[in-house]
Amino acid sequence: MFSQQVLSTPWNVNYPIFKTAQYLCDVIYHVISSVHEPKNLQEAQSQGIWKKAMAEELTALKENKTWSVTPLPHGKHAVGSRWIFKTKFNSDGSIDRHKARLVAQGFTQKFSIDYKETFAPVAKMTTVRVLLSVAINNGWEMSQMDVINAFLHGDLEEEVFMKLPPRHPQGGDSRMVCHLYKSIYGLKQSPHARHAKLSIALEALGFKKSSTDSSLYV
Amino acid sequence: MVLIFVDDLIITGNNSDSIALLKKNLQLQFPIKDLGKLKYFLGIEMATSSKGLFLNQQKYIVDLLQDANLLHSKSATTPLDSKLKLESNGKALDSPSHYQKLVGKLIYLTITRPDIAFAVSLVSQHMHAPTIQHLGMVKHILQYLKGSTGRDIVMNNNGHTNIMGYSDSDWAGNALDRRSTTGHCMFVGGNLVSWKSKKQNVVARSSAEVEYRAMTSATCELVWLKHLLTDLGCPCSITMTLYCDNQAAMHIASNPVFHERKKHIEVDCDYIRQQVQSKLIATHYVHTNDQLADKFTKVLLSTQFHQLLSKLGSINPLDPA
Repeated sequence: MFSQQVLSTPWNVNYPIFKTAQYLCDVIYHVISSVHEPKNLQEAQSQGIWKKAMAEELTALKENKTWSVTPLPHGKHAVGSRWIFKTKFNSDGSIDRHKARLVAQGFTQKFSIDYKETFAPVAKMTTVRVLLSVAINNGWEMSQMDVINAFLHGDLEEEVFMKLPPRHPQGGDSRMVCHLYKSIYGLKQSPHARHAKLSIALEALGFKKSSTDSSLYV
Repeated sequence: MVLIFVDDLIITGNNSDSIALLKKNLQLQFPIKDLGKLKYFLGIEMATSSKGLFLNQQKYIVDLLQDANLLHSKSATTPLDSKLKLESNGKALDSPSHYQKLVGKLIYLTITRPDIAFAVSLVSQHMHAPTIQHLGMVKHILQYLKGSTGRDIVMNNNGHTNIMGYSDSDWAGNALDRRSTTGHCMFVGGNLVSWKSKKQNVVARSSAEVEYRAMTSATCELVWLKHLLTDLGCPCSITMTLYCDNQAAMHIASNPVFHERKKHIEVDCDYIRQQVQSKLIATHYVHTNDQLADKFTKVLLSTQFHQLLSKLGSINPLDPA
């Protein structure tokens, strides 16, 4: 009867012994507690999977033309940057992938110099449920898409500089910084820039923003 | 139509050709992954079967229980102890941040768990200065979740997209400040989509006044839902029904004369009258036993609680039918 649920879990929930919530808890507890995430760069660089994850992130940033390396202009300041390491899980508790993310330390940004508008709408959960109910009652197909590196697609309106990531080949020259063209995780205006870009794309395709929920396009 | 949630998109509509075209156009502009049929969105698992669409946050619950070290605790049958009495001067917790983190996660969990909405609204009123008693309440909610990790919200195809709502309130239920709680729940196309449990911000003088306030808040939500459905291309043409279990409040809502006993109720509450007069909303009486919004306003006994849950469309597929 719940074919999808049964398929998405590695054990068969129809066996009476597996029906207890306790068993589910035990299995997932075992998986989660056996995973270790590096706390700092040194630790990550000693492990192959995390080195690979960092290389992937740098490639994505480069392909996206996120920044160019320039000397810091006089009178400007640069925000810091650091690496974050996370293990992503699937809904059944198995490991999805290892993710390394370079983030800007947005808390050092100054209002009206480094950023202006920060508001970005998120859908109300009620809207999600109404959409689901309407789609089901009309027999509509529902599908899902996921923007890869969502935050890297917004264009920055302001001029923002970021310190070179740790161990950058040009890191020896202390005057050099990244001049950011695209929004990056951690900047205060990133969600705003990303939503603006997606919104323009959808409007160009003939969609209209709903007045009842600004993340719904019809 | 498209719904955006940061980097996740839900795409649906009545024309599968234009959906395919939209996907292609988006993929030209962004590196975007087509994840196929809707299955896992914002940590909510969605499973389709012949009986409808099932939504749950089972993994989130297990993670939460692990955070709270309650994976191996015993389970509870209701989210709140039915003999619960709030104390005014309990011993404050040394560090409230653990409490705040747990309650924050419980709030996110209410997305698919209307059954804990009232309990979570109670514990979230004490985020700034939680006491040992409040932490005990949070543990009780978690123990209830432990015994019901698989509970889903079900959405069925009922062949219509009509709107109806239930509005209810308790009467000065908070023994400490004598304020009352508003509760309402709304159905679109026969499926539960919206609910609320909120302590009112003024002390009311009569139960009719409390219910009247609750009805006003429900009316605002109904009107918003109607606009949303119009935007989705399924305008709701028939009058929306609002069920309420207080006759006096219904009379105030439908009768335009000035009542001596309601002269202190603010003007904004008369919003509902306008909507009733313009035939946008019709109020109907419902007996307390069939009042689905009841559990958003008060502590219920186990049997009552579970009867209401199944009527709301919140079920546990692993329960013996």
